[in-house]
Amino acid sequence: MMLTDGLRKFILTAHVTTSVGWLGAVVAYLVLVIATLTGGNVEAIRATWMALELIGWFAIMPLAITAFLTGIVVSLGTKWGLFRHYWVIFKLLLTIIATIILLLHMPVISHYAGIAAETNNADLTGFGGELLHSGGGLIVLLLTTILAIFKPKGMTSYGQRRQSK
Amino acid sequence: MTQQSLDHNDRGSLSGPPKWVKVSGIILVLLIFLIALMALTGSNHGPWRHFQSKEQGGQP
Repeated sequence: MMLTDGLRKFILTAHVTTSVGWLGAVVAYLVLVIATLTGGNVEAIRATWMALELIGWFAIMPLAITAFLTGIVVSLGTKWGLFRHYWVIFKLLLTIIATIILLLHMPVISHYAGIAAETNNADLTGFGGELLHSGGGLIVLLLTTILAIFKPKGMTSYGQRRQSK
Repeated sequence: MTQQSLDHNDRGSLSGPPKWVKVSGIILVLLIFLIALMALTGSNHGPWRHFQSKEQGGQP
């Protein structure tokens, strides 16, 4: 079903806004992790775990899920389709991978944030993993942005069949 | 996503997958395999390692 022009623009605006917001939230997350790794004291480490939990659950997670859902609606509701062009499939796969890793990783953040809130202990053991996850996430989001802007050519065999009809 | 840009992107794509798709696909599959391997086997990675170490009384 093709979207009307007004609805398509509305959902596309939501998709672009949440996608860029997701990227920005990951950058903020990464800045906190790097700042803590390069000189955070015990209080800063504890505060950072709690801040990461808030950013993760209330910024990154809703933005990621909304970007994912609006992306599916926009692609299905336009001529681009979901499985007609390789760049759309790659963008979908990267978004799914990033979202799954995020869903699996957030309980870990809550775990560390819980320890930070309940005790006076703090260590930097988990921050190496945070650097890896947020850095990797940032690379994936930059790749999806590049795909969305450049739209490298290449149509799937399904797309070619649909086009010839 | 205008019709003009859609047509432009379709040109020359009526054969097999373009080279960028093959190369990126191989890299993506290898990365997924690597992440799965790290998460499931002995590289001390994966979301559950933190909870296991807590149960064993180790560092979080």
